[in-house]
Amino acid sequence: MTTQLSIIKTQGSSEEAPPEDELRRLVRGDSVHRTLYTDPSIFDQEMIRVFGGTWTYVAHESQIPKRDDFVSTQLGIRPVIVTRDSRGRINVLLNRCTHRGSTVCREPSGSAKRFQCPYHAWTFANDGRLESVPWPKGYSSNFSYDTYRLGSVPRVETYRQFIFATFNMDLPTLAEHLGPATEYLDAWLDRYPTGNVIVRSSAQRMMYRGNWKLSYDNAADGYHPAFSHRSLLKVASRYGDDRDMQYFAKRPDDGPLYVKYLGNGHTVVDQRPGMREGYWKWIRPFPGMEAFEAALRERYGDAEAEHFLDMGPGAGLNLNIFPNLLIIGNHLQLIEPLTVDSTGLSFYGTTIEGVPDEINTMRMRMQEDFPAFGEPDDLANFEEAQRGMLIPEMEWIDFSRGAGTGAEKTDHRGVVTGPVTHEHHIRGYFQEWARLMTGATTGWSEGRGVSE
Amino acid sequence: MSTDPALMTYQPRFMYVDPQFYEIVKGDVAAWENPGPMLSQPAASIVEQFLILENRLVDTGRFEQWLNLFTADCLYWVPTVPAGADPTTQLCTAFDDHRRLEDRIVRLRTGTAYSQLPPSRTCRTISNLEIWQSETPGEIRVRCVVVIHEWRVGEMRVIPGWYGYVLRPVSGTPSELSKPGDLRIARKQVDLVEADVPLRNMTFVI
Repeated sequence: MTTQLSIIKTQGSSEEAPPEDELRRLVRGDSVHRTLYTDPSIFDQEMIRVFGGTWTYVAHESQIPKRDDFVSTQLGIRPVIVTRDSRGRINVLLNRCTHRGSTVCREPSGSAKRFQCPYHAWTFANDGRLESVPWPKGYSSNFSYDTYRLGSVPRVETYRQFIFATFNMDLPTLAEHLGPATEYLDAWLDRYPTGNVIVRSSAQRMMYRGNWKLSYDNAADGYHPAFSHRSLLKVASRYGDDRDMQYFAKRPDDGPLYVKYLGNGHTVVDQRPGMREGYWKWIRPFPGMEAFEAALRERYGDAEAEHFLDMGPGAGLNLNIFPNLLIIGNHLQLIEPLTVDSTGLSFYGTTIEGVPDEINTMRMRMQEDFPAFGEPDDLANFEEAQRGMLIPEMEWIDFSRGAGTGAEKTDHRGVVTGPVTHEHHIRGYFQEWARLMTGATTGWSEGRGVSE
Repeated sequence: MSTDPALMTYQPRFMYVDPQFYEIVKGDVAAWENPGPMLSQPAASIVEQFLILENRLVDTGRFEQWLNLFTADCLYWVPTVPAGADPTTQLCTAFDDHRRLEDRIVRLRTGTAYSQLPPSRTCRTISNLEIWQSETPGEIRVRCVVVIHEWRVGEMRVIPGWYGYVLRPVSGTPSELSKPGDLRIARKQVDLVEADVPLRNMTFVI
């Protein structure tokens, strides 16, 4: 069997996209071919057709609260600058000088009205306009500043301060694309007094030697916690048998938890039905828990203190916005593909407004729990999966759990709901993956940005 | 080694991480840049022997003995910002009180902490020691460079950084130290060169 998609060419070449049947052979209903995780040519295509080919999360508005603020990030493997320009408009600029290709911004974040390329000092406004080049008489009289704007991602939209961008002119609006996922994002945000979170903490950054999709597969996987997270569950058992995540440990399909495929690649695990009596009582102990709780109870009285305390822990949702934003607990977790077999995972802490400072300090300490006690074991398993997938004779990655059992229900919107250990969420998102990899047109032409 | 049964019986006694504690920790960030009067001999040599012991216990996986070197109101801090920042507003790789340090050791002893199966082999070198009397009477500050070599699953990694220690004598004053066993660690700060860049599996750091 052919295991290489040798006919896929990079976008912008004269070749057509690969025939649908070629990719379709690699994406079956209940399994995918290992090369989706190991073949660099498929990865190259994903970095065009998936990351930026669909609405892709780039930053949160609270990271650029004021005019002229910017944050550097990636859209797939493209370095980009997310700016709030001097008129207040949000831009996603390609961080590449239109002269000889150098990045023009090398700071992770800050405030800047313009970006000057360190190489030859071409200077761009923070909306991408080329403002000046040194010694312009060296160029012909036809030189057009407008032609040499920084490239920019043509579509940028926000949903409740989450900034997404895409090159794909055929997609519906962001809100339509998120679809049923908005209900869960709304629920995650509406717990808080202002209905927003602030993303300003330094991130906890991790890296693993494995394909980016290993993270996405796992993000809605209710099958693995009882096993992958045995060590975390044992630690939690120090504090009794009713703490956060213990409901995954024993026959979770008999409980009230569920996992949904939400369409367009998005998935969600809803842990809330497994949680009793608010959030605070479920939390595993963390540094400062007792002293801060006591201080709040003394200052506000029990009822108001408990109202605030319940805003500390995560919301009991794993909401995964395809392909790269995982909203888990209190974190925004970003999947940052590096190569076909290496991936960055950045855990951004969130704080909230309208609560005592102690709540936000406690959120930092609570958010350090899973990255210390859970995520490392996941990443170890991802790395070992990547090693196993290198065996050429073993071709298929299976996610058939639940298929044919009749336990999954599909509603009129196409949302598939099933027991929490089932794998319909993976089957669902690979259909979206295949659709993007075979059919999506991006509306983006190789060239120099898109004028307004 | 299996989990120490004593660690599985949780006693809620860790109330010390409060706003005042955070103020002390924030004070550390500046203190590491401003060494005070250096500790004289033989106390300085005893401090160095203590740190060599501490690092050997981690490298040889004697985590329970290692934990015994810490005070009951200790902090183990690995910031995600070089040289540290305000932990009340910043996520950390670790901001562990004694209880969370116990949690880490309980986890490593479960036999199912897959990120340490097989376990890392580590070898850490400390050097460039600066040992001075803290502005807090009775305490000693140490700043030193560390290079950790780690081998796991066929690969060697090098993890450089610096440690900041706040040490307390079990009794008496710093100048009266007579042996390494007289010391305890009140706070240990681990400042990785790569604090703010994506790091692979760091579960071996302790």
